[in-house]
Amino acid sequence: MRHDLDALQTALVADVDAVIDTVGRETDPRECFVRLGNARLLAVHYPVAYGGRGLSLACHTAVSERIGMRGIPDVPHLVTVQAVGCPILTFGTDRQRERWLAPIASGRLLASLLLSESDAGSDLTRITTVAVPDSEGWRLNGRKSWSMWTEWSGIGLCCARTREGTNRYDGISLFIVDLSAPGIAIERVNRAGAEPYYTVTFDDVRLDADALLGRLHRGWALLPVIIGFERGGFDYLTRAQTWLAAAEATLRRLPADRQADLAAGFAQRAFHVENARALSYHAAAAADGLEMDETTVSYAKLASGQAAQSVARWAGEELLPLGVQEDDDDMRALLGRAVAEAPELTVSGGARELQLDLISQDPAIGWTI
Amino acid sequence: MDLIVDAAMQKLVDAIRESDLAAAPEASGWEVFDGLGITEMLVPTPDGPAALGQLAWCLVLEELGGSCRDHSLIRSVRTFLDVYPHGPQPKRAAEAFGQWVGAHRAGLSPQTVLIEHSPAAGPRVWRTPSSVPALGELPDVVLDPSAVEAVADRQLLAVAAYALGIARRCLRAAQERADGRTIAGRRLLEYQGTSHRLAQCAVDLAVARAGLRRTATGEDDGKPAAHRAPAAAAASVTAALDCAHTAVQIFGAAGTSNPEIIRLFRAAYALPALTGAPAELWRSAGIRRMQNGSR
Repeated sequence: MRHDLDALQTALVADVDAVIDTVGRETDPRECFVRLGNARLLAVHYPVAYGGRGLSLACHTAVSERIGMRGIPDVPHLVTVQAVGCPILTFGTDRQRERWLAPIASGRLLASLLLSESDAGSDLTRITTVAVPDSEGWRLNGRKSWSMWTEWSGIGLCCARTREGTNRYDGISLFIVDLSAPGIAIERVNRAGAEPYYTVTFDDVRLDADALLGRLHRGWALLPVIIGFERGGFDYLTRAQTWLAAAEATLRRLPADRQADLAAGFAQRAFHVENARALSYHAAAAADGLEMDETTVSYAKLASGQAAQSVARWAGEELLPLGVQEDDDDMRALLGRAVAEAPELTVSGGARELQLDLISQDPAIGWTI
Repeated sequence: MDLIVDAAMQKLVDAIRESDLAAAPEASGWEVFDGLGITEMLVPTPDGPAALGQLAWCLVLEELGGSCRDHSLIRSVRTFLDVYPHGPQPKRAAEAFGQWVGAHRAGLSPQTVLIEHSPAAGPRVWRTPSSVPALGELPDVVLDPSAVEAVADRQLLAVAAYALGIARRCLRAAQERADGRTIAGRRLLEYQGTSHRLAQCAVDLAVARAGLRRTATGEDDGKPAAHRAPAAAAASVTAALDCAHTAVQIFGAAGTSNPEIIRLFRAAYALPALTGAPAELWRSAGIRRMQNGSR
């Protein structure tokens, strides 16, 4: 048991800092990704042959967290390297690995996860996007919703129906889609206080035969693993830690009696954030290679989302009305964004209800961690 | 950072569980521990006060909490080992403690405590009651305020660990009940009102346990618990209380008459008397953090 980062994780964090220190605050984050990729820091858990360092998932965890804590958008990194890259690494053919992983690890190729649809929500058995075989591969038609950073993405990992199926789980397949292909339209969906979503429409898009990831019609079995790669909770934790630091700075500027009034609420949120973080690190450290235990990940994701949400609500409901100076526009804006963004943190990437379902069925409830 | 219990610690936990199963229902936590035959390990040596670190101690207490064993004696043993190495005659204290360990089977009641604050001499003075064989003649120990705070923090961690054991037991009992009961043709566990309440308790318990174990590991690595001790205690006691209420709710009417559930519920409500109310603990944690930073 370790209460903090180990020596290797600490060294990697310093490496990330050294790279980010070389770029200006106004630099496009995509340039940061390239520089981090040049230093082989974006996917340290990938094999060396694919641009990684052959390190553990726990090492990647420390790097990801640091990237987010330095203000670089961590969602495109996590989705690209974890949710899309790791399935290619795990389930892809040698040719797919060679084609896609090195560009991903280099930071020059970002990716989106194109799973959900507006009428399917979290229930991916209800998707209506279809892929029909043709002479050279497949033709893809349908519409995907709620993806993020898709304007930056060169590829998407998309699930589609490839046959009606003997049951609702059968007949779903996964495809790696080149998002520059003809017939693809990407539409931005603006949101209050948060990064936009994207809707991606496929109009008779041609995919080559090599686009299929994993076995035909058997994509459902891969989905929990793919989603698991995404669900470490780290994107939530970087928000939680950033918001907590802002809240603490605000609290410290208050008179002593006000600080004392709010101290209990602050301590509760700080404990929640710090130990949700520990659960996320634990889920990565306990992984079998790249494969994280689904239930352990549910604990980490839910605790992290709830911790971040709790900080935002506390800041919005108790601290902001009292504590932020009128002239501190930056702090007011940061905590205001936190309030707006917080509800999503128990919705995206698998809603709270799904995580609770998983945890309640765990035979070792109360013992898992 | 990880929460993986290493093989040696897991062996200790497994041994405590076996000893717990073999012990009489009324046996105290100390008797369960003694049943392992390792109490001599606790005798202080010139090189160090105790063979078991804070994390190991917390793992032991969590197991004892799982069966609601009386923990007054075993916690006071730990406090003795925490305090007396700083006393005026540590060698004599070690010898006396060794005699006590060797002879304690002769009629000590589970309620005996080895050391306590001495109210008459002020809160910084620790004293062994004169009635405790072999130890009662030891000189008092006077600690400076920071040392007193550190001892008190470690005591909080021990009670917090015991609270986690109660929480875990409540959760298991509630899950088994929900899994075995059928309401309108469906298992109770299939109703989200039940399953989600259980799962949320499990998440809160996991967060509390992570906090406690990280704090205990930090102590073992020389990083004082500081504000993390009251925070871990608040989270752990709250988890025990929430899990106890959940168990009663899921047992329904039986929850207020089933002896096992009643025992767990009472054990959970005995915890704030030892730690203070969770609200006060959070306040203490917050104020200490504001004073000292997040160190």
